[in-house]
Amino acid sequence: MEKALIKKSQDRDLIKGFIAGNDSCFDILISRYKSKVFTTIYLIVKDRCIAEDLFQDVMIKVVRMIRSGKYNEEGKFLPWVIRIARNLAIDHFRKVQRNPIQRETEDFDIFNSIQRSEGSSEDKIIREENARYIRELIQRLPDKQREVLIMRSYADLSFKEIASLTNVSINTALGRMRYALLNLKKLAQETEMRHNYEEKIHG
Amino acid sequence: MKKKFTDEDIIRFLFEEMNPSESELLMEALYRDEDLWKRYESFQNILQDIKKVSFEPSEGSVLRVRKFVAETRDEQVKPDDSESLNISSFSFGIHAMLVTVATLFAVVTILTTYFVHTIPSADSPMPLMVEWKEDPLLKWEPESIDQQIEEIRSELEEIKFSSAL
Repeated sequence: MEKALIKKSQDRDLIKGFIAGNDSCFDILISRYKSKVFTTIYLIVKDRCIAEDLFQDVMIKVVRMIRSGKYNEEGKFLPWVIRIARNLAIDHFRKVQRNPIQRETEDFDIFNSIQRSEGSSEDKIIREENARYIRELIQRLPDKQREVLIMRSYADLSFKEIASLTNVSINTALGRMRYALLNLKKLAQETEMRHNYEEKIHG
Repeated sequence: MKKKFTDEDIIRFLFEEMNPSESELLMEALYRDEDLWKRYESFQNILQDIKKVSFEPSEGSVLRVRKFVAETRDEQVKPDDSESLNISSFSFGIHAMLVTVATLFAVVTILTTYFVHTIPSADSPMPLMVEWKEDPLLKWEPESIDQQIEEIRSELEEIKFSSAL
């Protein structure tokens, strides 16, 4: 009964509960936003293993900051977490630039996720395949366009919030989103054309 | 005059970031403007595809975060380096202030005690002027003053030492 009530609570109530020592409040916050936070990180860093590490770092930092009273109640929780995630992702890229490490490509990740999920059906495989295809298209976008697309579509930040976070005007953020969508369409058409061409060639 | 809607307007509409009156105008325009409808449909399709992408962190990652939450529940949050600097300088300031206040208090107490014992009060049964000549305490000699000053000094040192502890 109490858990059901907690599940329906607003973010700020859950944070208050967590500060008061109720860990299950933070559990609810994790369940509520883990997918959005992780998808955002994953699409930014383009590597599942790094995304897993960064996800943990982000959530641990969130815990520390809430406990030390650095969370501002006036702000929204998710945009705040996304801001932390973005900063940690940028830090990660800076470190990589200083100490470049060669990593394997990521063709295995979809296989891993299918293996992990119990009772995988054919539909699920198709869905995963589609998701991988779209993810690949998103990752081919220019950085600034990709960033706006991810923050608006996955992290649920408004254009105003994105503009503030990336230090541009709202119109620039909107313009980047427009180019991101147009480029995605173009990339999808090119991939489809190539696929059709290859099918014709190979019979 | 009819408003010309841009791609950015369509995007704002699709993300529900348009005010109600503007949204109504755009919806009306969608019925009569074929080009606008095509652009709207194209953006909507791409966004629907984008929404299909969603990834979950592994169970291990989530468990590690939960473990951290449980393990650090009773821990004091460690401040950043800059904060610890501030806190240490702050505590140093408080400490110095306490020592100063204690020293001043001790000096005042000693001096008050000294004067209460050496100067006769007004309630004294004998007149002050009469006592002035005969009171042995008032027959100050240089050695006794030095001795008393030395005693006060040593007492002060002791107080300083104990308050520093």
